[in-house]
Amino acid sequence: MSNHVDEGHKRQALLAELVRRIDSIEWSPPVTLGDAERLLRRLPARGEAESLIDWNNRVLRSRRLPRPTARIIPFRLPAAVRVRVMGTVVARAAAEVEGAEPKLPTELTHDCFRLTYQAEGGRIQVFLEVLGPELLNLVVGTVVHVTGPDGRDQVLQTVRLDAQGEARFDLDDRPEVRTWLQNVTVYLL
Amino acid sequence: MPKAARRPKNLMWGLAHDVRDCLQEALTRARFPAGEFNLALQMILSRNPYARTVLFRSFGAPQSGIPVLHVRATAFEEATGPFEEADRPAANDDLDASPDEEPAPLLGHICEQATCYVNCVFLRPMELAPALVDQPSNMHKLAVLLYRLASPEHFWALVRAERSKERYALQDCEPSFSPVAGRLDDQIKQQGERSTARSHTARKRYGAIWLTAAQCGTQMPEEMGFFDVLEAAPLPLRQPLGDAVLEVLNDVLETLNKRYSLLRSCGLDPDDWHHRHTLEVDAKLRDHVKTRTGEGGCRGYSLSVSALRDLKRLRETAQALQRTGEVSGPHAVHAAFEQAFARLLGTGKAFAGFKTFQGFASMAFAREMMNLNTVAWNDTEGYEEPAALSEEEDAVMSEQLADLLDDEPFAREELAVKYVLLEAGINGRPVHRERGDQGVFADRTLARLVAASPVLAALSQDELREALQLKVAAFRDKAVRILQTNRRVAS
Repeated sequence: MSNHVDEGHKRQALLAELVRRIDSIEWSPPVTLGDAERLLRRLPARGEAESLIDWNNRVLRSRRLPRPTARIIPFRLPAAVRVRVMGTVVARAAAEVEGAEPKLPTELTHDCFRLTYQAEGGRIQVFLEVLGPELLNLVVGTVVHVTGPDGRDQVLQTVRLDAQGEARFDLDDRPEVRTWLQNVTVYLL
Repeated sequence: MPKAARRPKNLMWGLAHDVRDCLQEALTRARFPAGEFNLALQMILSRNPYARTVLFRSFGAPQSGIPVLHVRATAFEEATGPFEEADRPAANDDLDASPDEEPAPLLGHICEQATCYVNCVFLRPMELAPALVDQPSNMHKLAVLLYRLASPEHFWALVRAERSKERYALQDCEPSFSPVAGRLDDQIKQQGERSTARSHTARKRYGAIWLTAAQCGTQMPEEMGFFDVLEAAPLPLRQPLGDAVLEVLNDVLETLNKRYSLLRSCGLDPDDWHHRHTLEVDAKLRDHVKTRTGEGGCRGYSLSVSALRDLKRLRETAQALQRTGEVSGPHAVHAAFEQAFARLLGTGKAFAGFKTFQGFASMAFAREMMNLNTVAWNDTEGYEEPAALSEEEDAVMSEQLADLLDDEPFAREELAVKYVLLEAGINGRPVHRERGDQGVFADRTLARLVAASPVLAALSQDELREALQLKVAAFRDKAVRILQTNRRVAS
């Protein structure tokens, strides 16, 4: 009986492998540089100073929602203040065109907190949430400053984090606010 | 009898072949066509088997969910239709075309993950290996091998890369060396502050990496990218890219692919490289959390390759726990990870850099790992790297598969289908001329079998390919139905 079962399993595994190999057959002819050239002629041209990564993201992935990738700037703590920085997040604004209206990032995140933006009726709804249970235990119920690129001299909003470590507020939807929201620092009071 | 198995050693070996073939064409031009080559790489990666296997697993999402960019002669547009649909014109492919109008010819399609792969893997500089900082990387070795093909003359044959505290000059060098030196110099300036602390230390201790020939030399960037090597090459190359180039190219691709495949194996999206170049640590905050929790806690975490290997083990253990039913319930995934962490931590002080599971679970990437599992936990096959078979094992497997095929009754006019299944499917040979193989379609045996079939003999080459493709697809569907029936019976 067990031999019969083993045979069945083996045949099943072989059949699965056969299907996998059939799926791996490439029916179309190999790619040549000429194929790529023909394709490239149909796509938007690369800017003079544009890197290949930027061109790939702009042309081939332009319809994809931006990923919450952010770069954290090392923080310099101002002297003699009682605040502590939670983190600074800068949106990757490589796709921005000089002179164009600043594009509002969907969200900014790093390992400490996430900011989610939504523009609606002339206002920008901002949702701030703390990430991770450990940090949540530390900061729940505390007041934070959300500031623009100039740090504490440019406080956009002061809010208290609720029991879930979340806070909501809204701001005027103006180009300068959009620019500030690409480079946000959250201070813990 | 099937011919000797010619399946590539593994996926990266096949990719190295395909990249070399394309590179051969690109490097014989007077100027390196970076844009075209970038696109060609993505087109290669969007084909089988790369698009379907380990490189582009899409977190358990069905294959049909992979976004594909179709480019037609009239316009381009993005579609999210089934991947296999990309080859044939679909009704909604050309929105501008009238219903009676033939759709414009398809110029190509690019799988979104192929773009991600090229960005993550091919367009990043290669870092120095920690144990080998005193010597040039595989990328430098590849550069040397390629540059030696610039000319059969004595000068280029002597070119080599080495770390040296000695300074070389450009006096009395071959005229064709100066442009290469200029381009490498530009790359060093561009790299500037971006190079890692490891390469700064190595440079200080062992000297810079020099590209030397005869008595002259020029510095090379410490961390060269694949495109840096190609863009600095003394073009056009006068000699073909031989097996030595292929071997080193394979090593380069294996190295570049390492982090990508580990991120995939952990269930993380490689779009976020989890690396210090993309995320820097807020030291103040980290210290603050560390004093309160005793953990690295909330910080921009840079995952090392060894940490990723640990996380892969963690994921596999957690998967095994859930598969065997040791954990269950609404929070089974979290519980499985927690138990797996405890098991792997054992009596050690830390696992993957974390002392406690809570410390691990507070990280954004940990939540990503666990959240994705809740979506696609059952899709275990999709996550596991296919075990690499040795040549002997592969030969045995191919024999067994051929026997399986022999058990299937094929009508006389379908012997050509059986031959294609055997050669292209089981033995992994290319259908078209590729990788030094003439391709199954050029085989005399196939020509004889086609000639013996009145139906197939009347078809043109394109029609024949299409007919055989359809018949092979029908055979595959039949095999899948048998598999599903057997699974139902077994369960």
